[in-house]
Amino acid sequence: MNEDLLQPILGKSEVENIIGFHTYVCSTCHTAFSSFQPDLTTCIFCGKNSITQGETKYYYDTSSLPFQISLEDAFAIYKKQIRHDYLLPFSFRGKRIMKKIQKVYLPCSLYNLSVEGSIAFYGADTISKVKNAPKQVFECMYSTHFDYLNLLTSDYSRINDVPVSNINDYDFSQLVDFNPEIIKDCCLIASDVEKTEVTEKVQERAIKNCVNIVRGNVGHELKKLSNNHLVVGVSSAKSIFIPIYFINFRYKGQEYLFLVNGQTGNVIVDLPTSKGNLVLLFLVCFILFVLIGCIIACIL
Amino acid sequence: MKKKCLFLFCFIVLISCIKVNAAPISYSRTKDNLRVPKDVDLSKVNMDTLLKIPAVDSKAKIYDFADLLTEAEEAKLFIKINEYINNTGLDAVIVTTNDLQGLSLKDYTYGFYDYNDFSNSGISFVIYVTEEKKSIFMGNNGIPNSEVYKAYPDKTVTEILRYVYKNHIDQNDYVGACEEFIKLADGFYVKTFGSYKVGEGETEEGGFPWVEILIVSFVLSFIVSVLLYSKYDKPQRRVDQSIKKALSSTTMIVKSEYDKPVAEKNTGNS
Repeated sequence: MNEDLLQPILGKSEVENIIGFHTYVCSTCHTAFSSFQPDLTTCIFCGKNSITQGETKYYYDTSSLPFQISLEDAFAIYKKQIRHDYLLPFSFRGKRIMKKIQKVYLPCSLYNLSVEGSIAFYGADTISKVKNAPKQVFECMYSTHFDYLNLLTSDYSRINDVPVSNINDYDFSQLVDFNPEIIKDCCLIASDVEKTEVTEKVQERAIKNCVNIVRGNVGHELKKLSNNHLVVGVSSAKSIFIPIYFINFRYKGQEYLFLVNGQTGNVIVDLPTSKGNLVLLFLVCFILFVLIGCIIACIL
Repeated sequence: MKKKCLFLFCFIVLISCIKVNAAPISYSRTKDNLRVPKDVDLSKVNMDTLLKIPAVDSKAKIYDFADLLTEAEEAKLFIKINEYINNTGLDAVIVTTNDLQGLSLKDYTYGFYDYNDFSNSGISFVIYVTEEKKSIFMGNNGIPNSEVYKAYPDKTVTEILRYVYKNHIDQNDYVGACEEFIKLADGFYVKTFGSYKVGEGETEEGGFPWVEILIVSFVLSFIVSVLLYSKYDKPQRRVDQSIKKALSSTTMIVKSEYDKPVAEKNTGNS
């Protein structure tokens, strides 16, 4: 293995200790990932046999959270979700996709930031209950200060902030310096989003959240944002790897994602639903309720 | 000629307005021809009573000996009583009389039903009206513990009679009394059996709340389906947990600087 290739992925000091660390890039979904296994042929995200040796990404001073959920636990979580999903198509149940669950480290950023400034709203109240009565308009000005600590955001575009946010109950106090040994039995997905883009995205999220909170405080029936002069100050930004289990699969031309938090087992499921099952479920419920109704009517 | 036509027209209108009462056809019984149904055991029958009870055509159902009802009213009652008979499977008879032939009202009622060719199970309603008094009686005829006794126990019979007497007989509303009697008899039957019994083990529309059950079941099934669909479909619509978790509530400040009405634009001359 070329040392120059390893160096950017890991901390400079660790390069010498690691041997046989491989980086792959999928030509279909453009996912870059790293693994100790030298003979990987399929992409961990899309499952296509189109991976090639890729360019390494640069990660310095990164941290990671250890896995606390085993692969067997992830299997059990998946089985539980499948068992209780009555709308899952029968044809999908038969598919053995559970074996495709991937144990990976997902690149994320952890931000500490504050939002400060003023927001102006137009508020309006109807002066009478009479239909189409005129409204009295108010101008409301608020000064605000918000601090966000450990705001997690995904640095991998294919598993974005929405699913990551839904499984986020990570305990960041357990963050440790990144040690390449931890990816011995799993893969490490490389970031595919520019740092500036991530920062902009985080700032947007923070401002949107602030505006929503302030909007909730406006004491009028109708509320309309007039202007905001909010300034976001990023005090720190840290690249980390979070442990996840996931399956990304296609069913009838649509992509679905099953994601498990590798630390706590929190899960987000996006599984296909069948309209036929919905109709069947409706009919079963209908027959059941009719039977119950008949029994009650007979008793009464 | 015109006067004659006018007179004829008025006469026809007058005739049509007159209430027509027709006495029911009855036959007198003699010792040689008792006119009783075949199932009546003559050895157990009181001959004096039997001879005093009029023999009638059992299909008529309305026997207005006291001429209290018009023919139209009788026809209307006949339809209603037949509806009751068809629905319940019980027979029903309405009798009005002003002469009990020296019998008690009870003996007359039961005798009238038993010694004419009515079904084994049925009810009879007799209105006895004279210048001095008005009485009514209801008989339930059938074998002990049969349907007719279950539907119309003594307490129910008393309730029906008391209600009919108070609300109709007292006001000389005899047709109303008969209609009310049929209505109450029908109501108490449904109340007892929950539905009209067509045959053994069968039920007919009217008693069982099929429509209500189907509507309620449909609505509940719809709600369950929608809830399940919303639970399993598109789970990623949830709120941004990360930002909620990251927000430090201890240092959060939202301070209202001002909240003032917007001054209306002055469109006047000043």
